[in-house]
Amino acid sequence: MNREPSTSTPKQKLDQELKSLHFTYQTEVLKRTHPSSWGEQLRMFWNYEIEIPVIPAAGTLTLIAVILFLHPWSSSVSHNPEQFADRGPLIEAYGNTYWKKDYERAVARLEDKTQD
Amino acid sequence: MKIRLKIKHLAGLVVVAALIFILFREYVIPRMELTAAEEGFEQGKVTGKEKLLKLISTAEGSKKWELISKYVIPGTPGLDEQSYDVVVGPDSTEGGGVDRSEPVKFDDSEKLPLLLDYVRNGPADKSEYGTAASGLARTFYVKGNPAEAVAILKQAEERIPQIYGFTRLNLAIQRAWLLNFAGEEEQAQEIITGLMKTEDKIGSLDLTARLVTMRAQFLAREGKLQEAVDIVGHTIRDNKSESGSTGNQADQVSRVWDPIGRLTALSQQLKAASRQTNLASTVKGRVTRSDGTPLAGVGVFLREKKDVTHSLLDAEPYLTVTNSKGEYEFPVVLAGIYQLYAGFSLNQIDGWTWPVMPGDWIDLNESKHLVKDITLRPLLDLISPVNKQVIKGDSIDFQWEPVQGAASYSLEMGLEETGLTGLSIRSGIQDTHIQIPVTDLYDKQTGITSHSNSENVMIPDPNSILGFSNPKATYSWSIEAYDAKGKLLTRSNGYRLNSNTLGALPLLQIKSRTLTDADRLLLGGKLDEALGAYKQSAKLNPSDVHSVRMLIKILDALSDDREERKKLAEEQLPYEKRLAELYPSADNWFRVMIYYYRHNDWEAFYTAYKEMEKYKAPGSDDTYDRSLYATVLLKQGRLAESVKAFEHVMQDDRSHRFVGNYLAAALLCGDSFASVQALARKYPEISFTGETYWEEMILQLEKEARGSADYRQQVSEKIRWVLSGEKKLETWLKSTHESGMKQFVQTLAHVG
Repeated sequence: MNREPSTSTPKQKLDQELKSLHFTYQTEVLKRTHPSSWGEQLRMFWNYEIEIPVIPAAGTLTLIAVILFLHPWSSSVSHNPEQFADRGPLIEAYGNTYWKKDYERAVARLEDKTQD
Repeated sequence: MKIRLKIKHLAGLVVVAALIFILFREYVIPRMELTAAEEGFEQGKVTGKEKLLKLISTAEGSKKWELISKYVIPGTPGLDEQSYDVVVGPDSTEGGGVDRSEPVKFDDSEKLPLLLDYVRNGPADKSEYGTAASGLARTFYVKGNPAEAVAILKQAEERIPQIYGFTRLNLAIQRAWLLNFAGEEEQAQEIITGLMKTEDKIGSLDLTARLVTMRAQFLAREGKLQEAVDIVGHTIRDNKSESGSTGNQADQVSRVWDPIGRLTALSQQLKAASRQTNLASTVKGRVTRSDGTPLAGVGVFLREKKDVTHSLLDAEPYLTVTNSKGEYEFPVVLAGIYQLYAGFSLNQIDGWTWPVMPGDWIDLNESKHLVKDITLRPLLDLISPVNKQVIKGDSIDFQWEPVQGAASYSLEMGLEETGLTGLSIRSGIQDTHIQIPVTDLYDKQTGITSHSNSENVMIPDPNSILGFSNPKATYSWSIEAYDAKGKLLTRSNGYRLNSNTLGALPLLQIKSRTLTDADRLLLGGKLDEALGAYKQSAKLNPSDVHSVRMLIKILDALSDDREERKKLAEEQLPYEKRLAELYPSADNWFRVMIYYYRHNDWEAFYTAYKEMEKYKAPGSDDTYDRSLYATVLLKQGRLAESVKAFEHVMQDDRSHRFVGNYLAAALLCGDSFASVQALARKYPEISFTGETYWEEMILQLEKEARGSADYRQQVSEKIRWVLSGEKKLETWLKSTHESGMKQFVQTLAHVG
């Protein structure tokens, strides 16, 4: 069997093994490394890798979430006592009719005054 | 710590987050908002109502109808419903129907578009549909648009599927009712006559009764009374077994909640109307505030004698509501005696009062067209003493705000501890202040309240016995203002529901005297020991007014059965005479007078009566005293004088409580049955203990007298037996077959 002399360097060996492969994407690569058109730039941006610090980002996200989700019904939870019609029940005292709470408040004020 | 990622992945995350956000906003949050709004609405928060409105406006399809039927329709009374916070009438004020926690209600302008949408496009096969249509029609009517109200009902009737006949019929009756009010009588009649043809298919006795009542009213207006009687009678016969009514007519009439009972009463009323000059009248008027502001949506009710003793029923025949101009009208009211009642919302009545006088009856037997306005006036404000002011002097200066047009005022007081109110202290006060000596208050007869103990024995309340003589008690006071004709203008008592109307509390304490040992025993509930102590004091000091007064009151409180009362009355008399001499007043002499009245001691009666007259406050109601006086004249056989005295009393006493005795006096005088019957008609007895048909009874006497020569003599004899308390009367009542005379004599025995 005729054996070829193994005189080839690793470089030659590699060249030979890669002989059947031809790189034809130079332009694409160039486009990506040096984008010229708008689309090319967009694509580069799209694949741009960024580093995000976890703690500040999570904090900001939570804040946004809180604002977005809690805001809509904050208005329905009212703490203004004037908006409560709950003064009942009605009571009758010596011919007059009062809301029980109003009446009790008025009587309590009287008690305070008499104690002073 | 940092993470690395590409922009496109970041964008992806943002998109996912946005999708979640949209999902929340559009679906999850609205669900949560609905829950929150429902809770808020139920707790009465205004914001809850706004949220609900917003939700309803954004909801679609069945969800929307569900929300409307759950939250809007229930708060909307229909044309045939009487739902008012306060119902006021001459003899009662009733806080009915108020949901005491007062949830936020939708107002008409908020409800209207929703109900309109529901009635036009909502599910007509749901049970709420009829209520919604009726409520909407009512809203339109109250807003002054009866034509639209009629159109709504018609549209609703057409949309309701045939199988829901009850609701359709109910709406049709309401439509006829509305048309009648709107002056479209012919159309109203047409509907009613059309419905009458299908009467046997109605299947609801309530609706049948309403239908027949309306038909009968229309016929009465046309003067076709017999036809009306026939139709009503026919319906009663057809449905009697169904309603389960048993017993006689009088029993049936008293069953006010039962349609057959109502129809029986109607039939009687129609027959009675046939004796009157006019069968049916129109009653109308306006409901306004005293500044002229009309009040829309006020319920106005013309109530028959038999109905004023119970709460308002939807089945009563004359119920209506005011329109946007505050106007109301009853186009056909059968002849009879009525009281006008009105139903208000808390907003309408807060700080205002309708000054209607007790015993204000409307007699429609004579007037054809009656205009009766209802004017609300602002409550009167009290100046002093208020807020539990302590009185230590010999007199109390009461002072209040003047009322425009008032000619006189009356002062009333109450004992807070016992719940006693409305005790008349002075009337005919010309000024806006008055000084009342505390001794006058001590002398005031307060009435004795009792409560039952654990063994169900009634225990008199010592506070009510001590009355105004208790330095530890709190007292209330109130003022009523009258015009020159004695008509009530306004009062200080009423609904005080906000900081502007609340005012000062009308309370005071009277510490001008200190408690005696006997008083302490009394307050400690030891009535017998207290009585002994007061007797002792009265014996040691004959001019000890307080002890004499207290022992009379304790004897009053102790006499709880008839026999005992007689015995105690004997024991009381010397003290009563002593009190009347030590502290002469109309009340104290009245007690002496009534003793002699009951014991048939006429000379002593006249003496006490004369003394009493000396101390009578000018303008006070003395019709009862004068009636007793006239009765004594009758009992003595001084007939001409008695008739004359009764004639005067009848003109002042609108209840005509003693008219039976007047008729007896006239009969003894030999007046003809016809003239006595005329008197009975002129002065009908109106009382809460039940109706007394004197006119009917005289008619019966006349019928029985025909063909019996000594009948008049018999009647006179029996009347004398009643007046003298003759024992033979009992035997005669058991054996007699003359039912007319028996009824008259029995009723006469209970006059007064």
